[in-house]
Amino acid sequence: MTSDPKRRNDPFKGEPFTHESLDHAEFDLLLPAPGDPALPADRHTLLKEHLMDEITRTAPAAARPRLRRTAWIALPVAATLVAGAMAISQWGPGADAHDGVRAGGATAEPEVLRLEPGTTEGLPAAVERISLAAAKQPALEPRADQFIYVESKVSFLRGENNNGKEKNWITPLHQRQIWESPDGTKGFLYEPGHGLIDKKGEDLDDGEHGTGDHRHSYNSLKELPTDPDALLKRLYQGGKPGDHDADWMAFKEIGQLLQEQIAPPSTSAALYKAAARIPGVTLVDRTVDAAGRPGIAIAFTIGDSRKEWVFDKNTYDYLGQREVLLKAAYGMEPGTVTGQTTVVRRAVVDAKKELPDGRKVSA
Amino acid sequence: MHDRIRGGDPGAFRQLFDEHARLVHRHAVRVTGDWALAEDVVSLTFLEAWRLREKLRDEGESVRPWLMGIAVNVLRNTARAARRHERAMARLPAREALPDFATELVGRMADAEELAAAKAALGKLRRSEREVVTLCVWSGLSYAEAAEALDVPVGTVRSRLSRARARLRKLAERELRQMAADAPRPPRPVSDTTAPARPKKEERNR
Repeated sequence: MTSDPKRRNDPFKGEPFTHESLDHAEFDLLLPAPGDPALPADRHTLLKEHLMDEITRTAPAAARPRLRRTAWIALPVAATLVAGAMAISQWGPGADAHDGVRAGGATAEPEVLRLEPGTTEGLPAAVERISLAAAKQPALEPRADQFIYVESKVSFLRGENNNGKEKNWITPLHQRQIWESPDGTKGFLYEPGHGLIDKKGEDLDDGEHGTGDHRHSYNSLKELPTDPDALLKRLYQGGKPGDHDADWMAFKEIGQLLQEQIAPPSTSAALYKAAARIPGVTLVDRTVDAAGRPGIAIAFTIGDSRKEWVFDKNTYDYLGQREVLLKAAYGMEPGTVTGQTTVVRRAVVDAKKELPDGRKVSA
Repeated sequence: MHDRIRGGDPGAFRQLFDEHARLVHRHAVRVTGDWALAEDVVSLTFLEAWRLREKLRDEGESVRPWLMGIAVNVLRNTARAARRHERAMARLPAREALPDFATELVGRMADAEELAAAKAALGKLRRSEREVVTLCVWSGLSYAEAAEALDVPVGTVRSRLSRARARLRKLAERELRQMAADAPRPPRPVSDTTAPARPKKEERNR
């Protein structure tokens, strides 16, 4: 069955007897037979169901909650779900072996907070103190051949949809270590507790074609204007202040830059000042970070939940971020912490997988 | 059909999938030489079609060229498409480790060698040439359809095909001479089966 030319006359092929098919005859001689791969019927059905599931999820009416939820997931996971998404799926035999959280049966009992309301009162003063604290931080300056290392503890909401049955849970708080070159083209992520990405860690290097989008890299961050108005304009990326979605995108953009990057102190200070000008941003007087440290939070409400950046109550240093449900959702009660990150350490190191003390991560 | 696709009618997408998924899949397996990756390409192509549905134009009776154009783009940069649909792809059911039927498994192993050889031969062409060859010769698109899929004039499709043919002919002749010089083996046009059948790691993972 290797080179039967008849099999190219499949139903997909149009105009069987034009000059084109004569043209092709020579290719049949020059190229080896391309095989006759057929998509098995069961996979066809399965892939179709998946598509239908996805497009009905993202149909215009259902767009809102999806947008919000994806937003949080995107934060601790940054650009990294990709590889996991390509290589691993959540279902089927073998999936559990990749998924420590589920394999161990350990679905963390989610933390439920007493909800403190956010206010705009006191926001300017708090942001002023936070900016001052940020401006006083020592600057870390990576060389072009070095890597920015950020270690944090994270947990996040995960969901599965199996034939229309949706199930959601919060992953236990686990360690996440990420390395990124200053230009953003190279990197490595080690997060065995993630569940969807390779337990041995994953390269974040640009492929042959590059991603083109390194706007969260150290180099891009360094180029940001430090004037809060100009900075804000850049962060809105064409969106209009006052449009709730655009406001959220700008808030989220700043949040991403704060979490897994090192910024020149003047830039961080400007980022906080810019955040204070985003319509809808509030101050939450009392909260705690993932490690239980008391703090205040700069917050933004989107959909049924509130995203908080948590700062130390006394020093105003950035501690991490969390997302709290304001209304019951995903089968969870209001006040549930659906995601959190706490920065443990930021440093500049010489190579991927290298730790600040010179050891290598065993990935 | 065009209006229903543009309007985001899920039924139209079901029909689109039923009519064209096999073509996209076969094309992807032949181009990548990788069954698992090809299934991802199928999913990504239709997810991209959903995302880009409003851009479908009325040209032509069939939506096949439009869809194959999307498939070509997904194959050019699978990583980017995967990133765009990372959540959706995470929900994609995993492939079974083994196919259901032993006969199918045997069929696949026999195919694997052919696929590897075909992929190696394609690797000797430029990307632009490879795309027209796979679309026109293997997937049976007319020149006009390939032109629409690749968004180039029909003349460009023709010239790329003839460049590809010339290049392959030259390679075949060189190999024949080489073989004649080496040993009295039965001459085969292209027999490089040692090249990797799988795409490079970064292409697959990112």
